[in-house]
Amino acid sequence: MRNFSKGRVKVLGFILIAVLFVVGVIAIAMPILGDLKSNSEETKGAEKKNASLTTQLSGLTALQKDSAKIESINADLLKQFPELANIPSLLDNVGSAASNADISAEDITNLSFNIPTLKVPATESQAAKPSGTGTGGAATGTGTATPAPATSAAPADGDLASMEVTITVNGDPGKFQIFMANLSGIERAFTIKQFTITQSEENGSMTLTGTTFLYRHILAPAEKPVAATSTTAPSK
Amino acid sequence: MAKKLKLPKTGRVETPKTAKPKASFSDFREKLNSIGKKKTAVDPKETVPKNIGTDTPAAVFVPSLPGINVVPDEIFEKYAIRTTIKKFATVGIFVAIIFGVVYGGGAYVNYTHAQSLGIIDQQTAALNKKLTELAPYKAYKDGIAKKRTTLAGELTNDVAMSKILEKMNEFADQNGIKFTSVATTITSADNASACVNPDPFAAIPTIGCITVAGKSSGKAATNNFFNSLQGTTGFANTFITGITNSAEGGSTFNGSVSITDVFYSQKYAKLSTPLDDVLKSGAGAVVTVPDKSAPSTASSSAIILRLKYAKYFSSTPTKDLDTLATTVCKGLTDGTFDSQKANDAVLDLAKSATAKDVTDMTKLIVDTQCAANSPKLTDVGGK
Repeated sequence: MRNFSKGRVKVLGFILIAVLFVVGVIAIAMPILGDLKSNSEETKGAEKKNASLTTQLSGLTALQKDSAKIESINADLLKQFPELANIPSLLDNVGSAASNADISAEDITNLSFNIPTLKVPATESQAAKPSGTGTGGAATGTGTATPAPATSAAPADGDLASMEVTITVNGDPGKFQIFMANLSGIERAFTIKQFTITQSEENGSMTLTGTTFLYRHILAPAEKPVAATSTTAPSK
Repeated sequence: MAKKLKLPKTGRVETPKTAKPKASFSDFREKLNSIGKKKTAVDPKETVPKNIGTDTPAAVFVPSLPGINVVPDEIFEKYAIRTTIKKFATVGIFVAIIFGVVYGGGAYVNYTHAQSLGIIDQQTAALNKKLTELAPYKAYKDGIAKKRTTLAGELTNDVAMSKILEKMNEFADQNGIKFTSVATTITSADNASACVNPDPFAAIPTIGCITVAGKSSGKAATNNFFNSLQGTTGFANTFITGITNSAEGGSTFNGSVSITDVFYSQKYAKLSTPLDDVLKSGAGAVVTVPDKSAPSTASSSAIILRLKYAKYFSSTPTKDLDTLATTVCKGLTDGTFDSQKANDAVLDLAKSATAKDVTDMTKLIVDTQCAANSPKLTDVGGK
């Protein structure tokens, strides 16, 4: 103490206070304030995230409530666009359409079904061109099982397949018109691509080419996947 | 002019007041040292009072006590240092307390933040768990929405072939035409080259071509047939390739007519409706609009068969269906029939009915209720 003059003590005091202040700021205030800021931001972020999740959850809860409606919609779609070729059912539909047009079963002279072909998105179909995909042979209308495409190695977006159907019936233009109207009203979606009528004095016939569609089945949340054991479903 | 001198009460001569510097500690010490010390020299600056009228200085008595500096400088120095140290220590403690308070307060706030963050994290975990549980519903809905979009795109160009043939049959019957061949070619939309174009200077967008061959009573009948087609919405570019007189009388002809997008059936147009809108409206998935050219000659046995399998008949009062059927028939008669409204009405009657059921139901109504002397729904299968 003897060696310290009052001036030196003052300088030393100021230095110590300054050091204390700086150390306090660096070691205490800044970390605490930093923590406060980061914690506050973290809390706000978490609250914001929770708010977003809550919104999502309310949307999903609403969806869950609507799931019965969606399942009903899908059930209707499944009738129009089944997953399987289900030729027997299609034969029934065609037979019913013909009989309602006063065309007997004997007058349906030809029914042929092409193998279902995946509808590949444009970009993928172009990429797949070099390998070449066959058009598939026509199976004459005996109602034999036709392999469904769903289990094959489908492209990423290949959920849709089409199956061409060719039908030849005997009759007259009036019956043909009713037959086509009936076909467009069958349970399965059926689009007529073209028709040709040839008529003589004695009889007439019409050959039409139509397309029916298959779509990969989408399982409902509560639905458990069932291993497909058959490529055709029995006619109802 | 001589300055007026003022004698102080203490008897000491004082100099006029000037700005006095602040007394510092060293001044204080000097004062202490000077106590009791005799002045050895007269301060020249000191104003000495003088006798009035003379220059001789007046005698001034300055009382003073004899003194001696008994406190050593070190004591003062120590005292000053100690005082300074105390001051700095006080300031240091104060600063330390402030930082302590800051630390404590901050730590407390951080603790509460951590507590609330923990609660929020728990909520997040719970929300995430629920979201994971419900995620399949979104995937399902997205899948169905995509399915509808894909199918809508695929079926947008469905052509109502039966309507085309219906019109052709109608005009053929009116003009005594017998077709020997009718062939259709459907092309992509807006294809101007689908058929023979009678106007080489302009092309009408078409979606397909129909080539016709047949027999007629003569050229006028053939001409009327093609004129009728040309005057009908949906047909365009009628072109008679040739008319030949036939040996048995009458003539044979060849010609073609283009069809336009008017003949797109729009049967699957509802698939384009966003799934969210469908869910909001509560309507069914695909309520296909019944083809107006639906057969009117369906046999009653087929109707009965359908009715037997129509599930809504088990729960819906037949009376209501009959009322509905009457309304539909009235609408058909006066041209105000709205198939969509009819479908919605059937859906209202039978909540469990599917789109196909509705279509069948509407057809049934048309087939049974609207034809003269047709059986009532109650007669063909209702309760």
